Amino acid sequence: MGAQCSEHTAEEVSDLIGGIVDYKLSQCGAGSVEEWLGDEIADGAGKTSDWYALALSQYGYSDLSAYERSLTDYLASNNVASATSREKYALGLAAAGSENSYISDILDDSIGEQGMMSWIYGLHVLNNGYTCSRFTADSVVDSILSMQYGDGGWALFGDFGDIDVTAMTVQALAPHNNRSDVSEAVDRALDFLSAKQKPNGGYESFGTPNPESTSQVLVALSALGIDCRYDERFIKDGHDIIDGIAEYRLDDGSFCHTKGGGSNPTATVQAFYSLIAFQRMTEGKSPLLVLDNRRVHEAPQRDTEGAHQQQEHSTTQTAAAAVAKSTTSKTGTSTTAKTGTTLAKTTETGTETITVSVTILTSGTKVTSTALNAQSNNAHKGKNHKPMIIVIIIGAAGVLSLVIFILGKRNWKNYLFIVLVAGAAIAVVLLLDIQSAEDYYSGKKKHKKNIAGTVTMEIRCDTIAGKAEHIPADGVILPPTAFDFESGETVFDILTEAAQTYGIQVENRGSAGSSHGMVYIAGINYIYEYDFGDLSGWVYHVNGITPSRGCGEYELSDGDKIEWLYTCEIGHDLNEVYEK
Amino acid sequence: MRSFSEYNPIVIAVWFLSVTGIAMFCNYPLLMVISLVGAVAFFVMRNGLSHGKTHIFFWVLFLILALANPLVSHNGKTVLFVMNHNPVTLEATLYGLNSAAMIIGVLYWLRSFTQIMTSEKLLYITGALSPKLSLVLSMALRFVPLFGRQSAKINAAQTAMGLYKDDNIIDDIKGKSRVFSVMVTWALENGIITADSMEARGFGTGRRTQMRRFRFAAADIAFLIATLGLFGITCAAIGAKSLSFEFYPSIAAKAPDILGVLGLISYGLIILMPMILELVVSLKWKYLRSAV
Repeated sequence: MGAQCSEHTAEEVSDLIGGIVDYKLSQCGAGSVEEWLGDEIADGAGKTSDWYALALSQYGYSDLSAYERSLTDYLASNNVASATSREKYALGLAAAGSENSYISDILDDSIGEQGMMSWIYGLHVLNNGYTCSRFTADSVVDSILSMQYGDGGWALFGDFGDIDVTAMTVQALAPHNNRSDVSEAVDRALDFLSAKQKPNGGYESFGTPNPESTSQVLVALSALGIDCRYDERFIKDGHDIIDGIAEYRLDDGSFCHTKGGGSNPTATVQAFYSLIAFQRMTEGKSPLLVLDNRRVHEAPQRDTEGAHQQQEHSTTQTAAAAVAKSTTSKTGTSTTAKTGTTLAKTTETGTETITVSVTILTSGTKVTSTALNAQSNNAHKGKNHKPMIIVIIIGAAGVLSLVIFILGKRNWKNYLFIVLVAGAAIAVVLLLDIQSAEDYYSGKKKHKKNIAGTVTMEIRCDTIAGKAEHIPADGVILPPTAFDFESGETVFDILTEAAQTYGIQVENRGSAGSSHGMVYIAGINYIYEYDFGDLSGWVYHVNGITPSRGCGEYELSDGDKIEWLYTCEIGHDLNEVYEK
Repeated sequence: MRSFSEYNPIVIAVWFLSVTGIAMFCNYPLLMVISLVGAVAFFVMRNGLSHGKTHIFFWVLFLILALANPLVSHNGKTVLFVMNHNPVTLEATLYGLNSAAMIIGVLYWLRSFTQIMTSEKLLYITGALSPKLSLVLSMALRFVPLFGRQSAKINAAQTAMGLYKDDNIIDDIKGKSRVFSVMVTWALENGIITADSMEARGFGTGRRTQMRRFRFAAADIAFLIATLGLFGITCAAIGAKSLSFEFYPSIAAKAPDILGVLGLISYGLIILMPMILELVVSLKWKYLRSAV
């Protein structure tokens, strides 16, 4: 079927890109792209030109120093309130090859702070090899996966997937496609996107056909290494995705938002970077938002690692080879009809693209493994503490008994008293379970042996969202996140696990040791009971029903959906349905 | 020239109320430090280095109060370590230290208060409001030393009965708790007997009158006005949130503005006033004595 479609050659695509460049140059009166970069793009840093800067950096223009300076100045003098914007600027800095610590610094406070988009852009930054303390790329991927809708898509709100958001999510997930759960989720998303494609090859958003949604899909497919020209899933009536974008092209090279409309800046810039993403895919380069300039800066650090690096490199190669094999088999279905040269080219493309992502992943694993080492050292020390303290207590008791003996107060009841006090002290030491903060909030997922199923948990405080500095503006403390559980684990166990993994402060009262039937959650994320009136506090729902048991008694079953919610009116503001 | 304890009881009471009131209703750490240091200095100034047991008791209590808070409250962003799945935080520890400073400061003030405000002076103040209340108050105050004397008697009687013949800690604890239970019974019984005997002597049959032997001198009025003025400035600083301090979820100290600094200075001055007075009086006394 794909055979009869007008095949877009590389020249055609570069003509489209060149048309946009010419249009922008004539618009701002610059003579060359370098001039444009130094002038209009630098002036618009932080405001209008960030996507152009990013796209040009991936188009082969590596000198973005003027833009970098301008953006650094902009960030120094403006407090960016939006988490997503902060992440976008971080990407802009990374694209410019900046070594500004802003890129890593903002991650902890930005990822997940502003809903779906802040997860996606945060993951893009992490995909470039930057790290932060609260999240790892894997933990963010987990969160994003847990937000997928039943139809295979993602959206900012509502019950159905949205084209743009789904495509953008796939772009961020693409470097992790070698994870089996990711690749399964991405396949579902691709089916969703394939089903929504219109006969002209393009897409609609909220009922309006437009090139922007189509551009996002093109970026997503290119990030996965899928050549949209040959994949039957994305060819409708002989029209592929590039057709769906190209038909909005105006005579001056720019793009319009609706057919027949005037030139639209958003449509133009999105078409620009999507075509660049496509071109990069055909040239075997990394996805659009895995930035070339950033890797240039990372290279010298690697060299210093010496022997380690060699080993790492070889594992990377094998992993890449394995993944490449699977990619080829996937894309192979659509390429079998093509000539041998095309097939070879696609394979090469696949290998190259995946290599990049695997390299990044490997560096990620290395970071976690060093963290783990530190942790196991700590745990080792922690284990040594208790016997030592007990020995000290027994020693002190012995010394005291000796003192009493020497002083002549040799009544047997005196010795009994000392034994009783020492026994109580030892009991306290044994019952106390003290861990260091780094050890406890290691951010590492708990390893479980006998997994009985998966539950999702979210923590929200919509009723008081944004009422104080430490309360998130959108009310989301933990977005719906999947957790594996062993049989017999309770809601309290999962909450504790989430607190440890994602560094959320939780205060429990009651017996929270080995047997925690009677446990009460007094505060989460510094928000406490009674903070907002006498009837306020934390409650939990499982599958929308309010259990009439403590969270330490509620044993989980597969597929349960746990919600922790903050109420200001003892539950009447939460649509409660009580357990029968 | 009189020493502070010889001023009119109303002036003394107002001064103590403003000092302890501010210490109790504000949690600004610097204010707490001023209050605690002032209270200890004032107590030591009046008593010298005696009352060692009181000091030891107060400072042990201070440690217990400061350490108890982080074990009970787990709010705060800086986690020191995690105990039984609950974080123990720096913020909670500092909050504990702050509130311990407040409580111990106020306890020191009240100790000085009971020394200066003899029951006679208390009766003078409350008598103006209600003679009945002052009678109840004086009876209640009488109970404190009475309780101590009675428990010494019971202890002596039990020793005479041979209940402490073994000298060991367990028997001591048992004996003390036995004396305490006896004391509770005795106190209840004594209350009823007192009430009966008062009624038998005709209590409540006529209007009660009161004798006044304290006067208001110019120095009293000046001291009162100075106290109230400085108290007003500090209250204004607290009311205007110039002296606000957030411990949770992370420590947020506002650099005090001019009003805040003024509030701190005037609180320090309130505390210093009687100390200056005592100092001047004692210097004068020494001077006069050396002149003889």
